[in-house]
Amino acid sequence: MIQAKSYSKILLLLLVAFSVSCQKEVTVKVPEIPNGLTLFCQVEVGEQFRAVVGKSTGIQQYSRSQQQFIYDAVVTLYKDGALVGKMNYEPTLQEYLSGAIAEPGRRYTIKVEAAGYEAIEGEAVAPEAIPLRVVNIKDTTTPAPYGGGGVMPGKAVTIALTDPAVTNYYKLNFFSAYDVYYATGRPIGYSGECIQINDPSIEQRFTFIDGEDCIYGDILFNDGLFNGSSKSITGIVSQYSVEPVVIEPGDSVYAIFKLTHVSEAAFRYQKSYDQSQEANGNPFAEPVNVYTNIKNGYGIFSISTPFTVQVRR
Amino acid sequence: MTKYSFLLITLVVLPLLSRGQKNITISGYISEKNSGERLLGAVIIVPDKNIGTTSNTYGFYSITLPDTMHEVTMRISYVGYTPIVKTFAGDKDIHIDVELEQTNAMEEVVITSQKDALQTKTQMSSIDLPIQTIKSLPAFLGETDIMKAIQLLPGIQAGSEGSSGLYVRGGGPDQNLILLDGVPVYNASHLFGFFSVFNADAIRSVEVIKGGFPARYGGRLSSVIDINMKEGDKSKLHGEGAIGVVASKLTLEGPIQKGKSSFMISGRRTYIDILARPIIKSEMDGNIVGYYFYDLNGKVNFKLGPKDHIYFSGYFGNDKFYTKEEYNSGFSQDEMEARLKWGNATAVGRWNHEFTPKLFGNLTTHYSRYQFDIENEERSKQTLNNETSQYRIRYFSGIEDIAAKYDLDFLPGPSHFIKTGVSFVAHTYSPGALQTKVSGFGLSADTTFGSKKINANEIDAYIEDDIRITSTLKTNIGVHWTGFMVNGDFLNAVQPRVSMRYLINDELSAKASFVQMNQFIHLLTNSSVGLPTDLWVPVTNKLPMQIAYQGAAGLAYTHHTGIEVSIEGYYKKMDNVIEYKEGASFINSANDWENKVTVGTGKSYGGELFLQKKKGKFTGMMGYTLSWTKRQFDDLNGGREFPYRYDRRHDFKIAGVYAITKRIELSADWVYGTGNAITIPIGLYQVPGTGYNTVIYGDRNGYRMAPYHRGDISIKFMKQMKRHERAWIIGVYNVYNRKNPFYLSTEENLDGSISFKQTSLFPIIPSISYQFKF
Repeated sequence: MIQAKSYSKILLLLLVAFSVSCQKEVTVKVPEIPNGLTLFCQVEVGEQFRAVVGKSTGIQQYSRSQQQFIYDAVVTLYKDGALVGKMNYEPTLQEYLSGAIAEPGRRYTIKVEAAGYEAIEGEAVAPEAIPLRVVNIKDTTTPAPYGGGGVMPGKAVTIALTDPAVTNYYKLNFFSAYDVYYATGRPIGYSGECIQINDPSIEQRFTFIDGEDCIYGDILFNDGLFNGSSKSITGIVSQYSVEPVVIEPGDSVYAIFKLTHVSEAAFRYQKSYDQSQEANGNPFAEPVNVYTNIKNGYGIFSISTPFTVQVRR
Repeated sequence: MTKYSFLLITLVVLPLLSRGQKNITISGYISEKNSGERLLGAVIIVPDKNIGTTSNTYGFYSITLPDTMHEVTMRISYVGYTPIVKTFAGDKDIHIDVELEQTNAMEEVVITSQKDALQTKTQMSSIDLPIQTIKSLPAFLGETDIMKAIQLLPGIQAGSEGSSGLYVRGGGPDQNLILLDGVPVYNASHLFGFFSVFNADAIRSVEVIKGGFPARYGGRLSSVIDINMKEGDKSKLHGEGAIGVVASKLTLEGPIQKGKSSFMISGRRTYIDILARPIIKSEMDGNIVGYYFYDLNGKVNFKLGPKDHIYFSGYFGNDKFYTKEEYNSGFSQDEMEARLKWGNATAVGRWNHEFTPKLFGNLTTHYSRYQFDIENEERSKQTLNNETSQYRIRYFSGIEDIAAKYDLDFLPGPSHFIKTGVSFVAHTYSPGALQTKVSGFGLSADTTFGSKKINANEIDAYIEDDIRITSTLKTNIGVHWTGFMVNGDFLNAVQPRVSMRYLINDELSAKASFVQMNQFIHLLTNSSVGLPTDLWVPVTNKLPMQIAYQGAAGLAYTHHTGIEVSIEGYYKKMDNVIEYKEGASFINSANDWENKVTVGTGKSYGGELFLQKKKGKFTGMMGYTLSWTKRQFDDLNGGREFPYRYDRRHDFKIAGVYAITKRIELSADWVYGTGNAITIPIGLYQVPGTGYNTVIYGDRNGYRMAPYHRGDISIKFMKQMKRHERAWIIGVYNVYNRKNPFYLSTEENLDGSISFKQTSLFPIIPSISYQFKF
C-alpha cells in the first residue's frame, strides 16, 4: 500500500506538471473595435418606455472595474418620426424612463448620444395583439420529473390562435394559477411551469438528455408552418401545475397562458441570446453573436403585444 | 441523360469492336513466394507490345495480346519484390501463376524499367503506402498508426493535435470512405481520435485516393482509404507482436491446409486501466475508474479449386470507459456504476470465381456496425429493512449496414480493362435513444424515448473501362449510379468519372481527371475533435445529398533511382455540406438534429507536391500543399464566405527511415502547417439584469492560431535470436517540446482584464516498445 501511495504521488505530480505545461498565456492580435454604446429597451404595449444604456468594449481594453452602464447619455424618444421627448435617468432603477406609453401600430425610434461615443439608434413597431383561446383540457399522464421513467397524472391543454397572413413571431408562456395569484402576488408572475409540447413549430430552447423535454419560461415559435391559418398547440402539464385557485365562489383559475406577438428582431435577439448562453463556456460549441437591431451599437429595442388567457372551469 | 451517352458508347461499343481481332490471353495469380499471400497491384508488362495491366485485389491478372507474336516476354514486378521475367510461346491462351520474392531492404534499387512506375498508371491523386514504411515511422506512444501515417501525405490534414481524423482536399471527416476489406468503417478512432482502429500488424496494404476516383468507388465526396487485411501465410505458422507503454498486440498467421487455405488472427489491447488500478483503488477508497480499448482482426481463406477462392474476415473493436463507486451512508449501502462503450464490428464473406481467363467475378456480402452506448446504474440497499432499489439510464446510438455486392473484371482485349458491379445496402440509423429503468420504493418502470430507427436502402451500380487509346495515351472512363430510398423518398445520382494519362516519355507523364461524387449520409460531428457521440444520419428533405465536383491535373515522374515525384493542382466544389448553426453544440445532437445544422457550399483549390522513395537503405516521403478551403452558408457569418477551420495555406511534411546497419534503423518525421482558423471574441458588453458579459465575436474563422509544427524520432534495434527476431524501439514524440495550440480560451485576470490562454495537448513524450517476430 505504501508503495502504491508513493506511485500515486508521482502520478499526481506528473499530472500537475503535464497540465501546467499544457497551458500558456499567448498574445493574440485581436482586431480592435472602438468602444460603443448599447441600448436595451423591451416593452409591451400599454407600458411606459424604459431603457438601459451601456457600452461595449474591445476585449483587450476590458476591465471588470470599469463602469459598464452609462448614466449621462442623452436618450430621445420619437413616435412616427415626431419628437416625443427626452427620457430621464432614474438612479434608483438605473434606467432611462419616458412618460409615453407604447401604442400598437406606431413606429418608435430611440436615439442615444453620449460624449466620446458614436450615436446609436433603434427602431421598433408594436405589432397587433393576437387572441389566444383555450380549446380543451383532458386528463393524461406525464413523465415524472428528474427521470426515473415513472409517470404521474397530468393535463393535456389545447390552445389555439388565428395567425395573420404575414410572417409572425410569437412567445408563449404558461403559468400556474398558484404562481400568479399567491407566489408573486401579481397577475402575471415571472416563474414558468414545465410544459411538454411536441409540435414541429416550437423550437426547443434548451434540450436535455433526461427525456422530459420540459420547456420552462419563454416558448418561441414562428408561423413558418401555419402562416395565415388557425393553429392549435397541445401541451402536457403536470396535475400540480393546474391546481385551482378560487378567485371568487364558483370561479376558479387553473392556469394562465400568455401569447406575446413579438417582432422579428425581438425573436432573433432572444433566440441568439439563448444560444450564446447555451454555448457559453463550451470550447467545442460554435460561437454565436447575439443579434442586434441597434444601428452602430449593440442591444435590442422592441415592442411586443401580449394577450393573456386564463384557464377556468 | 445525353451527356452520359458518350460514356456508354465508349464502354460498350469499343470493347465489342476489338473482338474482331484474334488474340491470346495470359492470365493467372500473383502471390508472395513464401507465404502464398496474393499481391494486389502487381504490375504485368509485355514490353515488346508496350501493353500492361495490374493484378486486382485478389492477385488475379489477365492480359490479352494480338496473336502476332511467336514468343512473349512478360515482366512482373511489385514494390519491394524482385521482378520476374517470363518467356513463353505466344500461340494460345495460357495460365501463368507467378510467385514474387521480397528483396533485401538494404539493397539500393536501380530502376531498370520505367514501364511499371507511377507515371504509367491512369489513376492520379492516389498513393500506395507500403505497410513496412508505416510500421517504421515514429509512432505516438510507440503505437503504429495507419491513419497518422496517411496524415503525412500532401492534401491530407490532421484535425486537431493527436487526432487521427482526416481532412482531404478541404473535405470534412465525414467525406472519407474508409474501407477495411471492402467494408465501410464508420468510426475509425479509439480514445477520442488519438489512435485509429487499424492494427498495423493485421494489415497488408493501404491505398489512399484523393481525386480522380474510379467509378467503382462511391458514397463519399473526398477520399477513399482502401485498407486490406493480411490473408495469412499458406506455408507455415508465423507470429509477431509488440509490448508497448500503452498497448500490446499479437498476430498469428499460418496454413489451415498447406498451400490451400490459411488464417490470420490479430489482437490488441491497451492496459493503462490494469496498471493504474491499484493506484486508483488506493486513492479513491476502493472505487474504480478505468479506460481501455481493444481490437480483434481475423481472416480465413480457402482455395476451392483453380478458379474459386473464398475469404471470410472480420473486425471487432471497442472502447470502454468505466467507473464504479461504493459508499455506505449508515442508512444504506449504495453503488454507482457508469459505462461508456463504443466500437465497430465488421464481417465480410467473399467468393472469387474465374469464369474465363478474361472474366473474373467476386461476390461480397458484408455487415458493418458502429454503436455508442452510455449507461449509468445506481443501486441502493436500505440497512434497516434490506429493501433494494435500482435506477438505470442508458443512451445509445449507431448505424448498421447489411450489404451484398457483385463485381466483375472483364478484359476483352489488349486495350480494355472493364470493371463493373452492382450492390445493395440496407442501412439502419439509430440517431439516439434513451432508456430508463427504475425499480424499488413501490415503483417499477422501463421506458424508452426517441428510439425511432431510420431505415434506408441504397443501390449502387458502376461501370468503368481503362482504355489504352495509343501507346502513350490512356483513359479511365466510367459512371457510378446510386439510388437511395429513405422515408418514402427515392433519390438518385449519376456520377461521371474520367481520368486520362499521356506518357510524355518513359519517365514522365501528364494526367488529368474530372469526377462527380455524391454522398447520401451526413455526420453530425464537432469540427475540432472526433468523439464517439458523432452521429451518422441519412439525407432528409432539410439535409439534401452532398455533391462534389473535382477536377485535377498534374505530372508524374519516376527518377531512375526509384524516387517518385508527382505534382498536382486541383479544384473541388462541394454542394450541401453541413455545419452546426451558430450556438449549436455537438453535445446531445440526437435531439432535433435537423434543426441544429445548416446547409451550404464549400470549395477547395490548391497544389500538391509529393516525393516518395519506397525501397533502399533510405525510404521516405515528402509532401507540400498550398491550398485554400472556404465555406459559405446563408445562416453563418452573415452569409459571407469564410475559411474552413482546416484551411491550411501551407502544409509541409517529411518522413524518412534510414537503415544504418542491418540491425539498426533510424526514423524521423517533421510536420509544419499554417495554424487552424478559429473564431475569437473581440469585444464584450453587458446585458442589464444578468450580471454577465455577452461576447462579440469577430468574423467566423477569421483568426489563425499559431502554426503547428512537430518533430518525432525513433530508433529501432533489431536482433535475430535463436528462434525469433526481436526489436527494441525507442521513440520521442514532439522531440523539441513544441506547445502546439489545441484551442484558445479567454480568462479574466485578477485585475479584471481579459487574457487569452492557449491550451496544448502533448508535450515531449518518450516511449519504448518491444517487438518480436517468429
